[in-house]
Parts: sequence; C-alpha cells; structure tokens
Amino acid sequence: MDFGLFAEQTLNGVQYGIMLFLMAAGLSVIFGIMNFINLAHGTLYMIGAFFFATFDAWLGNFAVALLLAILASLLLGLVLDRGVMQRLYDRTHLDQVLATFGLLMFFNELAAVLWGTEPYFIPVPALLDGTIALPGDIDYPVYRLAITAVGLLVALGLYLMVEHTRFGMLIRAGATDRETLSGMGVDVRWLYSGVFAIGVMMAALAGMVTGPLVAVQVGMGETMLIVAFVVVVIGGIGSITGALVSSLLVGVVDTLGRALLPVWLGYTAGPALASMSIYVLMAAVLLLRPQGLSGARRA
Amino acid sequence: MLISRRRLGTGLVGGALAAATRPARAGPPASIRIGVLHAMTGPISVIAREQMMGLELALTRLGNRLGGVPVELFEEDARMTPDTGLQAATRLIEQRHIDILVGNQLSNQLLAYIAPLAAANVVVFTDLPGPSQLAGAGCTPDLFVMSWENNTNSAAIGLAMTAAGVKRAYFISQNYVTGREYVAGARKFYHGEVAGEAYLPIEQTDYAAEIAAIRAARPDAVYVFLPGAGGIAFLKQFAGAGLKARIPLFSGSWLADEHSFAALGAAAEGAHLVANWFADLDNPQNVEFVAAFVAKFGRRPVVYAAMTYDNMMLLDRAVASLGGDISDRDALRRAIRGSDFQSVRGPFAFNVNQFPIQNYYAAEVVRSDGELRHKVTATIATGFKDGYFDQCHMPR
Repeated sequence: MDFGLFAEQTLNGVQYGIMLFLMAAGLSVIFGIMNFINLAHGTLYMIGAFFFATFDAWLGNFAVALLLAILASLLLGLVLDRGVMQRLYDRTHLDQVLATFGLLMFFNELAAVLWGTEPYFIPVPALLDGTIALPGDIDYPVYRLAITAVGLLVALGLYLMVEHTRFGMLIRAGATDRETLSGMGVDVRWLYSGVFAIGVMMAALAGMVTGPLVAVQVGMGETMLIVAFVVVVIGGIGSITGALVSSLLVGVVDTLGRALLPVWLGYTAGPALASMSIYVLMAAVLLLRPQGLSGARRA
Repeated sequence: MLISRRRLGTGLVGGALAAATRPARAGPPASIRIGVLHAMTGPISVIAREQMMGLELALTRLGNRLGGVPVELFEEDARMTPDTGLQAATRLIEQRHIDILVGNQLSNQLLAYIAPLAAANVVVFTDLPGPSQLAGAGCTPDLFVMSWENNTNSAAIGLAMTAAGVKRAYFISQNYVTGREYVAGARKFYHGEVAGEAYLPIEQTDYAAEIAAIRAARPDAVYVFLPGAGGIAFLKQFAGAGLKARIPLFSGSWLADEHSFAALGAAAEGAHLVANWFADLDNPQNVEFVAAFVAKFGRRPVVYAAMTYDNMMLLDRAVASLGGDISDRDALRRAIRGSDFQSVRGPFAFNVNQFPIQNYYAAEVVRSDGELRHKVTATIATGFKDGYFDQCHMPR
C-alpha cells in the first residue's frame, strides 16, 4: 500500500472516529456523572437522522434543517430526561438497562409508525458535493472533510464549555461530588437535564451528518451504540478527553484493520480479524489499564 | 407432565389424521383455500408486503377467483426463524386446512416447513427463496418454484460481466454464507482477473476504507452483494467519492429498485443490474401488469410482486383447466406443470425439478421523466437452467 492510500485510509479512520466521539461523549459523561446506563442512546442517533430528513424534505434547506433538527433533539433530550430518565437515576443498573432497552424498542417501533420501514434520503448539499484533490494523489469526498471539521468544532466547543464556563464547572463538580454540590444550593436535577440534553443532541447530530452517507432507517443506531460503548470503555468512563482520544483510536484501528488485514492475511482470515480488531484493542486496554486511558482509578 | 405430554401427542396425531382424512369432494369445491406465510414485521416485511401487493392485484383482476372458484386467503406471521415459520405453517395446515401455499421469504424457513405441508397434501409454491437443496437430489413434486434457484442470480450477474467485456473486477460482499456463495456463483461465469475482494460485517454501513481500496485497485467493474441498508449506503458513498462515472457497478436488481430509489437519488443512476424480470420488459402480460400495478399502488412494481402475481395467474390457468376441481392433487400438479400461462417475465417453463427455465436480463438504472427506473439493455441468458436439475430424479 502506497503512502497516498495509507494517508487516505487514516483520514477515513479519523472521520469515523469523530462520528464515534459525538456518540460516545454523551454516553460517557452521562454514565460518569449520573452513573446512568442509557441503551437508548443509539436510538437518538436514528431519531436525529429522521428529524433532519423530515426538516430537509419540508424546507429544502440543508443549514436551516440542520439547525432545526439540533434544536428539536435538544428539546427531545430535555423532555426525555424530565419525563422518564430522572426516575431512573437512583435505580440499580439492571433497572436502567431494562428500562432504556424498553425505550429503544419503543422508539424503533414509533419511528416505524411515523416514518415507515422504507429508507429515507438526505441529499448532500451542492456546496459539499464532489471530491477535492489532496496531496498524495488523493481525491477525497468534500462532505467527509466537512463533517470531520464539524465534529472537531463540536469537540472544541465541548472542551471550552466544560473547562471555561460556569455550567462546565458545575458539571465537573457534579462528577466529583454531587452531594456537596447539591448542598451548596445547586439544583442538581436541572444540571443533569442539561447534561443529558447535550448528550442527546450530540448523538442526534452524529446521526444527522451521517444521514447523507447512509440509509436513514429504523435500527440504524444500534451498531453505533455497541461501538460507542467500546469507545467509552477504552477512553475511561466520564472523561471527555478520554472519549476523544479513544474515538480517534478506535476509528483509525478499525479502518486500517479493514484496509490492511485482508491484504496481509488473505480474504478468509483477514475480514474475520478486521471485524474484531477494536474488541482486541478493548481487551488489551482493559488488561493494561482497567480504568481506561484517562479514567480515574476507582477505589 | 407425562400425562400432558401424552395428551399433546394425541392431539397432534388427531390433527394430522383429521387433515389427511378430510373427504375428497367430487366436483368444484366451494372455495380454494390459499395460505400465505410472511414476516409481518422486521426488515423483510417490506418484501412480504410487496408480494401481497402482487397477490392482491392478481386477485382483483381475477375477480377474487382462481379458475372460476372463489378464493379464501389465510395469512400467518412466520416471523424470521425456521421454528416460528414451522409454527405458522402448522396453524395454516391444522386450523385453516389450506389447499395451496404461496409467497415465502426465507430459504431456511421453507426448508423447515415444506415436509409437513407436503404431508398434509398442500401444493406449495415459492415466490422468492429457491434453496439448492430442493433443486438437485432433494427435489420434490410438492414444490413449485416461481422465482429462481438461489445460485442462478449470481451466475447471471457473472455472465453479464463477461458479456460486458469486464477484464478486471473487484468483488465486495457481506461476510456470511450467502454473500460468499454469491461471489463464488458469479466467479463461475466471470472468467476475467480479480482486482481485489472485500468481505464485510452485515451491519457495516460505512465503506470509506473499501472505496479507497477500490479506487487504488483501478478495476473495470465492481460486483456488489450488499442487500438492504448496506447497498444504499455503498452506492451513495461510491457516488460521493466520484467513482460512479468511472467504474460500473454490477449487482442483482435488489441493489436499486422502487423500494430504494427514493433513498438513493442520483447515486443509483448507471448501476448495471441483472434479474429474471424487470418492469421495463416489453411483453403484453407485463405491460398490462405494470400499468395495473401503477394504477393501483402509484408506483412501478418490484420483482417480488411480479413473482407472486405470476404465481396467481398460473394457478388461475391450472385450476380452470381442471374445471375448478382441485381435489385430485396429482391432477392439479400435472395441470400446473403443463400450464399454458403467459408469464410477465416472458418465456417460462418448469424444469424437471419444478424450478424455472427462464431468461435473465440486464438493465441499467436511468432517469426518465424525472423518475428513476430500470431500462432493459440486453438479454443475458435465454432458457437459463439452474446447475442442479440433472441430479433431480423426480418420483412420479
């Protein structure tokens, strides 16, 4: 494999990793701060894509549809949190898994009723259609570059919010010691609602921007959820930096594995090993650093 | 426990006896009881619904009669596994006393319930799965296949690639038994060089890595076996990478049809598809069928509807030739084998294994009048037979 192709595959890996980050950041923070396992997180990826497809079909304007879909998913996050999730925060993990698995099935059925079982279409906007020539004789799709940039901007925004705003300070305080924070007069429940809604919005955003590349249909979020959990475990629970590093690592390992292993090992063993590469990575990380790459060591 | 099990056993035997000893009525029956097994929910329910549209259209056109005899229709939810299929088939046999079964979606389900249906003297049709196990040494007079033997589709795609003069082909498929069989089947009839291969997990929908590898390998053509959501994503990403205009794609008609055209948009244009039927085929039966389908459902039909429609039209002719009396099942089977019915796919006959002898056609996805559609470009194979029929020694 020459350098140009290797560079292109690495770029593909980074792009996949950034999408994984959008999924995993919310999952990780919600798990880290609220100690809450949300199996319905992948469903919100699907709902985001459906919101976007619907608004785009109505308005015919990519940017406005994206903005409306983001606002709608934030609102959905708030409603979900106040209506359902808040009742689950103090329950055991088994209750949470059962309840959110129920939600997952409910949302899939609801989506089938509202949008049908045939796949939806979201066009790539004309401005981002086509390919761009990069050094090393690469023709790279402009749209993939654009969504990589959007993902990186969101990651940067998230970092600035958590590290440099009062809301972010409260989130960090809540992750460390929620009882003290509550004792100092902060309404922890509303804080949680905000965190949950932002997590939902990010998962939905991943679904929206991936929409033009895939078939928007019921069940599209489940495979992303599984990989997002792998990212959370590797990155360390509750850590946004860990989630970012781990997403990029998983994205690049998976993509390069798919590109290189069949060439090295043949078309029988290669594809089989490539599809388990990220789980091997997860096992190795768990063996060497059970708390994840940047998770706090637990007592 | 022992008692209840014994009771259950007696019940089952009793049911089977009752089914076997139903009096054979002379003369035309009051009705023909047709059973349909399908997955009413889940990913393949789209296919099941398409089959039902074909069936509904045929019955509407036939005045809800086959050969002049009123039809009673019984549907059961077979879901998606062999055991749920068998349970549903048992309900159709024991509670509904069906005469004929049509439809079906999955080979493994058909293999599970063909024997009990045959034992209950039901004439079984399949409009989609055609497992090779039933085409060779395992062939049976109880089964009529309207669609194809599973391997003939891939063989026809291989023929189409050879006919198109492809010298270097890239093969991309899902990594499971059927996917690998599809690639192997095409390679029997494609004799050029293999530029590369990719076998991917079924759930994968991002193909950036594979598309980059295809671009680097510079093949003449790409063979695609990615049914469902995977195929839609692949076509869009392939077009997005700017390869659509440079490297032709070859696949079965499922890659881009009326179910996925809306989701695909321009990404579908130019794909080379191979099948035993296209809406564009120009024969009187098909023109009539497609026009009636469009009038009723507002879009062109997909191949699954055409196969079930054909099934009902064939039955109509066969039952009519018997004067409506289907009590003698051997006579009914003879009438089906010798039927003069005109298929919407053009030339059609049953081979000795009761699988079709039929043509395969190549089509291209084109946009005309602002709509995506299949445009037939060539006849790839005439009177094409499956590769198993010579191992079939039909008990007569």
